[in-house]
Amino acid sequence: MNNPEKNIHPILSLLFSLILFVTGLLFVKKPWFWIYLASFFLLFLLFCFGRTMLRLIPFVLILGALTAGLTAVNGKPSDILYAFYRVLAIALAGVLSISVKPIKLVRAFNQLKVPRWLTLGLLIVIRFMQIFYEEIQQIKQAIVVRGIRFTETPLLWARAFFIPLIVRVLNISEGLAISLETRAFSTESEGTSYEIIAFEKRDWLFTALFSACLLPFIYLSLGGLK
Amino acid sequence: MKPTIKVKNLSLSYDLEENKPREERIWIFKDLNFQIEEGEFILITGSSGCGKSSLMNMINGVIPNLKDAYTEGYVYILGKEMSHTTVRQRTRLVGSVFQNPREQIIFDQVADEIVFPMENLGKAPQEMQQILDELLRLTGLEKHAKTATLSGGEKQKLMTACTLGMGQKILILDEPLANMDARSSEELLKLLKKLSEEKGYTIILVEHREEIVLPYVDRVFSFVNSSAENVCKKIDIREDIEDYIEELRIVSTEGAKNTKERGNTEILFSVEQMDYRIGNRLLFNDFSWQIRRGEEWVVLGDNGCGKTTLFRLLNDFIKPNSGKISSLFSKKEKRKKLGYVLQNPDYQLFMPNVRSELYLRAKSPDFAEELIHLFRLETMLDRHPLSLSEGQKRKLGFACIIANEPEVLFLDEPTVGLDNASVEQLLHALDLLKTRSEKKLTVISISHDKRAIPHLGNRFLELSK
Repeated sequence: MNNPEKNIHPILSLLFSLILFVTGLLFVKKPWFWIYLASFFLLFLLFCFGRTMLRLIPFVLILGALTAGLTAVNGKPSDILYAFYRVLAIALAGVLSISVKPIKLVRAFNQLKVPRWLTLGLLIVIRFMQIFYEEIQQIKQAIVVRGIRFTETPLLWARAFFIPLIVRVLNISEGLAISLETRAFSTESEGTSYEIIAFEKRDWLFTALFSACLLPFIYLSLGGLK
Repeated sequence: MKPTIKVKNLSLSYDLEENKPREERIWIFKDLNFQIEEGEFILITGSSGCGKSSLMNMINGVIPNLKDAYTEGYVYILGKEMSHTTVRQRTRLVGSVFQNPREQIIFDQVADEIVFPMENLGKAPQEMQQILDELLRLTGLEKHAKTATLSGGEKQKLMTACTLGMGQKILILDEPLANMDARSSEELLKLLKKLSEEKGYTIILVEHREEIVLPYVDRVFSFVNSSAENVCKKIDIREDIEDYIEELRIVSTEGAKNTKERGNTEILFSVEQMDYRIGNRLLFNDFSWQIRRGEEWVVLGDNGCGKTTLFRLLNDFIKPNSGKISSLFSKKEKRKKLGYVLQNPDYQLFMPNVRSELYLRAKSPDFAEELIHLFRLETMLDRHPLSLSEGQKRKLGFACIIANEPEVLFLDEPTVGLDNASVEQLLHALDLLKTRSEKKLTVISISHDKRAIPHLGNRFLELSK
């Protein structure tokens, strides 16, 4: 079950994610990078993002090993370490953004009067990726059911995979367009919002602690404590 | 009573050539005329592919605004001619529930999906909350349930709830009961009846499972094909519903009894103390079941109780959380000896034409030929399988799987959206397969369709939530 209390305001989440992405990549080569990582790790734990961080571990391990491995081909040992650090920095930035519920982001943007075609477009893109994944799973199962194996008949397998995929994607696009039109979606009218996405105490507290964590490292990176 | 919908000389063709003479054009229906009064509950019937859904789409404006077609004639809604109105404008007057709910879901949580159209119509949050609570109570859906984990029937309920929440007084529902269990179907029909009787809603329902809808409707509109032109030129209107029910001689499930005694045939599948959960929903708890060769099972149960999930578990597509599923067949043998007809045929059709699709895995050309005649596919053999109507695709998908003459056949809602004649064809094909099977055919089906259940099996597994 989702626990909305544990999320931060969606726009703040996106903004802080972006800041962590930029600063994380900038600070990768600093000797205090580990302290930077650890401080945000603790902040996220304090605000109950533990499960989200756990979900990112496979990403860190796989992508980290891959980039470090590629760097190892003709890089120095320190470059290998930095390559792995970069993946860690991206994962850290990802914690906040993947915790955002798309609908909450859309509603928050709507409240800020961002055009609806843009916000709903964003939502459909996010949703479509999930649908795409589900469709691929269904098609792969259907191929198995028809007794087609890639190793025996690769061309037939490709046909059985891509034709239904293209048709399904087209059908879903058409279905979504009809669904939007017949559910009174309009880019001209603003509509109302079922849920008001407001800034709460928790958001202000997170902002204060986030700034308190980040500012010392910015100061250090600009040459402080020389 | 005042007319809410009036159709005058309405014709539809998917032949898009503009200047073609009228007599040369291939029509889906031609020169239809009818009128529906305020507060009427109408059932629309007709054979698969006769144009019922297209007619609905012409009323709500999807044709020709969002789907290309050549049309003639007029649709009047509340006395106003609608030729030059957009879908969005008509949506203010007409609410629509379409087939294939899976393709229409945008949000990942049930509550968000239901309130979305209300947000678009500018309803106040308090009012939305009130309507949402009522619709959740009515459909039995959970507010925070993930839409991706809903069963086919639950998705249909969700899309129906979305439309009901918008509050238009004219509702068009295209096979909303197709995947719904008996209890949910009855609840929805009672609600629609109440809306039409007490609040003056005009309801138009397209449905093949006439036996469950007839007791609720005021009139039945049947598409009648002119034998000379093979096109619907007339809608037969019946007001004597009780006589009509008698004429149909509805198939009852009385003949279907659970046969307790079991033979000594070999066990094909054995499920032992299985647990399976999707997210926080525990679908199977300490579940055990055995399937022996030659048995014919029908898996029953409310929407979302895990019927399709059970099929996926038996076919090794997913693994149980605990417990064991063992099978007489190895993984490799399963691919050859098991046949699985999916709910949606679109996933199983990919060859360039109907002929190659059917012969691709056919064990014997004679049987494939027999199936072509049985399903009346002769005139469609060179067409692309995905260009067929939904009903025709379903029959072709079924034919392709059974042409492989499997030892075990899994059927997931095989009769959804099929008219009575097509259901008969399908059941006849199943009988043919049984007589051809060298080893006794084992059939495991999921169905909510009372027309088919008595013929699909003699053992019943009822799953509960």
